[in-house]
Amino acid sequence: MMNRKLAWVITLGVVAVFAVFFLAPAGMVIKQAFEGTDADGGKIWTLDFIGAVFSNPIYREGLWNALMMGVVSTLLTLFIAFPLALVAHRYDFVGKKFLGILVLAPMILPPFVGAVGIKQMLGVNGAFNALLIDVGMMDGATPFDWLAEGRFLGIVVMNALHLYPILYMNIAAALANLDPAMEQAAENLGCPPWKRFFKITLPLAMPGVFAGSSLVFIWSFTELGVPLVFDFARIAPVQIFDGIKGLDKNPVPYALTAILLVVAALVFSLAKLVMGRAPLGTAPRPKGRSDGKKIGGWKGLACAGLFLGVFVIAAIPHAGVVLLSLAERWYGTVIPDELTMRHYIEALGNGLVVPSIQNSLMYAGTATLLSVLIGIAVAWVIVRSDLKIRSALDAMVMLPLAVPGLVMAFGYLALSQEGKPFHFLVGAGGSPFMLLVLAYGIRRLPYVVRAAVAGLQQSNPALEEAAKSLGATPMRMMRRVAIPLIAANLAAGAILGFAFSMLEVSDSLILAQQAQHYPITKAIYSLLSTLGNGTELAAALGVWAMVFLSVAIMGAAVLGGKRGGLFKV
Amino acid sequence: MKGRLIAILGLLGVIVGLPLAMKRESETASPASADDRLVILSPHNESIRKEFGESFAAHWKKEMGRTIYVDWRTPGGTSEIRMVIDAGFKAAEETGREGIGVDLLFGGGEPDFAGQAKLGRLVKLEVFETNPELFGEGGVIPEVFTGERYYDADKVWVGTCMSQFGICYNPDFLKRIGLEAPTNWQDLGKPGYAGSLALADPTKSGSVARTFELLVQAEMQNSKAAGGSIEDGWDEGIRLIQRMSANARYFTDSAPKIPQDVGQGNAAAGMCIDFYGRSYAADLLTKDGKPRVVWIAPKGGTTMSADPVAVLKGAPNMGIAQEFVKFCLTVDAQRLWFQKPGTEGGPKERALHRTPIRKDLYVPEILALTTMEGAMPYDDEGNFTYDRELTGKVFNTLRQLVKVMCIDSHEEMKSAWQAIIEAGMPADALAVFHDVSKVSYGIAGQGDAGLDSRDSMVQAERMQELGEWFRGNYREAREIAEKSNPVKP
Repeated sequence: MMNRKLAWVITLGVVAVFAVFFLAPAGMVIKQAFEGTDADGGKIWTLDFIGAVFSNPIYREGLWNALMMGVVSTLLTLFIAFPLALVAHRYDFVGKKFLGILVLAPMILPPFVGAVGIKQMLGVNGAFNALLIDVGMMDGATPFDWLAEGRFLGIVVMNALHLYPILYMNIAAALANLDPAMEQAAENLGCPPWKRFFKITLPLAMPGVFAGSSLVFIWSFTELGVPLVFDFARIAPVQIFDGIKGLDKNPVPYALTAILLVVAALVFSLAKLVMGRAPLGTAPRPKGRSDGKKIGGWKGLACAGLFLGVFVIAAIPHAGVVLLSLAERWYGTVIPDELTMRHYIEALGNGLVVPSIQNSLMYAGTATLLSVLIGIAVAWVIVRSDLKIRSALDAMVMLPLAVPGLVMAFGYLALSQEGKPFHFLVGAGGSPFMLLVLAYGIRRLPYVVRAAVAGLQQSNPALEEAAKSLGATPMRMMRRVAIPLIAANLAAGAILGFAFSMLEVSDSLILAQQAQHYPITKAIYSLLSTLGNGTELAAALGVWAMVFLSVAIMGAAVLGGKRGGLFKV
Repeated sequence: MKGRLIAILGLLGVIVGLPLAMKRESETASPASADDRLVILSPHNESIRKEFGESFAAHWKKEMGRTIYVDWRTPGGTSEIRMVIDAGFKAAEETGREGIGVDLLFGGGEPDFAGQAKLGRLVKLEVFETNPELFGEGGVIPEVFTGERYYDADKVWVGTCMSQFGICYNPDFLKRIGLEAPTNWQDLGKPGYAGSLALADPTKSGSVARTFELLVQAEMQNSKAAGGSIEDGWDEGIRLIQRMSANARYFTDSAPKIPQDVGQGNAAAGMCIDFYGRSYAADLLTKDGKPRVVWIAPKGGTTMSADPVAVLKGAPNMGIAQEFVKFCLTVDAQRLWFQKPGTEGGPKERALHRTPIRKDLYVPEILALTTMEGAMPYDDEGNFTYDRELTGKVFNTLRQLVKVMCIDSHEEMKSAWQAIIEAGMPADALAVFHDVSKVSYGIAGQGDAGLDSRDSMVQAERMQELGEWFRGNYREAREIAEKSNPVKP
């Protein structure tokens, strides 16, 4: 068990950091939801606007739709990710190493142009309909409107195909930590495979399932971009976005934000109560690690086919972006009828690009480091201490995932004005380095915390105690024993945190004000508004970012693979 | 493992090296080495920023012999800009500073600038004193045209070019759904457009809100001209908004999204600002060279409004900011708006497709160099003049009304409309669908007391009341239509 004094120090430290850099900026925007005016025009505290949200059927329906979207998306994501992770865990098949990394690619869809990519593929006049018309399965006079018909299903499927890598990584990490001896024992005792799965494998992998599912739930519960692509406006996140950007200053969207946050925290805490407990107390650390049973022939091909199939379907929007970046003209055909490299030459040659790459690496890299440091500390308190407050701490660190980007960004903006408390964070020449590192780091913290918590739940504290009793200093124990034991999980969390920081939109647009400080996302946004071929230019830089992140993830996999066994490259 | 790692690092090196190797040299001075600096907050697109930034830097070098760095601040569209200015001035007020570290506001709609002027955040422009000959009667920039102001009465902002909302459509799409090319707003209310219209969102943009106001006012003017009452015209205008909204796929605050979707064939037609329409019309062509986007100014119901520039209170580079405003009104700068790229005095890289505000630009020698040779905006008032007296007071109400009646109720509205179309447009269902008695001219025409209320709670309650009433109507209209539909029981 963790030293209580240390646990308190960490808890208070993290709560302080959180209070200053998360609760203060988000709170100062959301507090408008609780400010009414009395008869004299003075400000009073009120719950009227919260009441107004609940009494209006449009907002009730919006909240309900968001909740359903979150739940169903999470289930579907689980349905895709678990079989993949299990197959990868159990079997060794042709192309496994490569395919295992390939299926992670869908999570890196560049902002702004991702939506255009989806429309190019699935729009009324898109590539998919063109293909169906070409092969005679659709009448060209009455094309099907994929994005308008069956929207709920469409959004859920799109969410699941975008988010399954989060769950896959977390489950893969959990399975990598599993002692094969447990499964083998069950097998030797005559347990049939399905029973072994439900009695042994699933319960042991539960920390990873919970970690991934809670991230996916909060993400899809508060998702804005996908409903917007499907033109679905009656869902809380879109209602908030529309309301905040509206010309009149009605507090209702902020009230809706506050409710969304409370619901997210409640659902998370409830789910944790039900499924988030550490399995079977302290499992022994696996002694050996098998790469799974070698299978060849059609079975091996079927496994490879499963991976490839998921990748191909999930990468449809990405294919749209890639083709768009190469298109001279792409109108009502399966692929562009004229290809060109000119968008790449123009986009990559733009003066904004090189500094933006440098900036993004600095911002996202430092932010990831920050979230790993805070994340490990928080996870330690949550798993290894007996503080009563630790559940509340856990729910609190999940909230940044649920806060709308615009709310955080404008909170930071307001607090960093000259003469305001955060002004010291603005660097020389107006550099937003510190602001963005904090904003990215805190918003991406949940990925690291969830991954680290899952890792710690699976690793045996007896090993840490043994190191201590053999005279290792706490630092040495952490460095040589504890951290290496959860390296796979940390790698998973850090990769997600880094990739999503590189692709962050709201803080980047609002807080990086001068061109020399732009991160890549804002460079993409700037190119997008070029007249003529803006979309194609943005797509070209977006493709560059996708390729860069893919290779970077591969690098991390090679590095992390040896120790953590997450990717087994 | 080492080998693999080296290979991956090498690959990363190549990927990062690519843009390094491809980097083009820019002519503008870097922020560190420039003698002067100008901070401009702008929703203008990258192409406009680039052409105006480089051209002003060249002008500055020529006039003053000094280099200048133009620091463009682009947090997003007009909504984000308004929020950034609000946050800045709120902090400035609390800490006793005058300005927000920004010199100029360049681009947006007249309503945006009028709003900032009202809050006292803009300063008097010197150009009205140094170049008084430009303005008003006998000058090249009229004070009012088609009912729109081209500079502020207090001379704190001035238009640099004009724009006009119109209709963009995709000829292929229209052919497929069997519709004629639209010529006015009324056409967009035809049931044939159901599910394929792209509309701009009036709740987030002052210019779009103004466009909806004009659309209603046009109906009022028409009604009056035909011997009817303005009250009936108002109702007809609101009903036109209902039909257009029922046809809409979405309401967006992204101006280029609409011509993009229309040009791609994802929408048949949409409400679109002129320069995006013209730009997409010129750039998006079919295989045999026909335009995929056609932009038209609807007959009646649209005005030429000014796209202004203004200097912000407490501007750190006040003198240069005032010079920038003067520069924008020179013939040299005005030519950038509409000349073809590469022509003498024209933009360097891209055509901006915008109409300059100075009348003296519309002469044959200059027009021959432009992308809009036949343009004579000042000769044709488009048979419509905006009358502020008629609808000026409903600017807020109308925006909120579109929100409750159409945007928030879009699901119920669309399904009612679909049922009515399928049943062959039965009159009884249409009457319920089009019931606007709760927002008649008598109640809302001078600004609805509830929707316009300063008390957010009163406003929220009125919005809920109206929203539920409209949704109730739509549900009822759907039931009536479904009952009268012989095909579908």
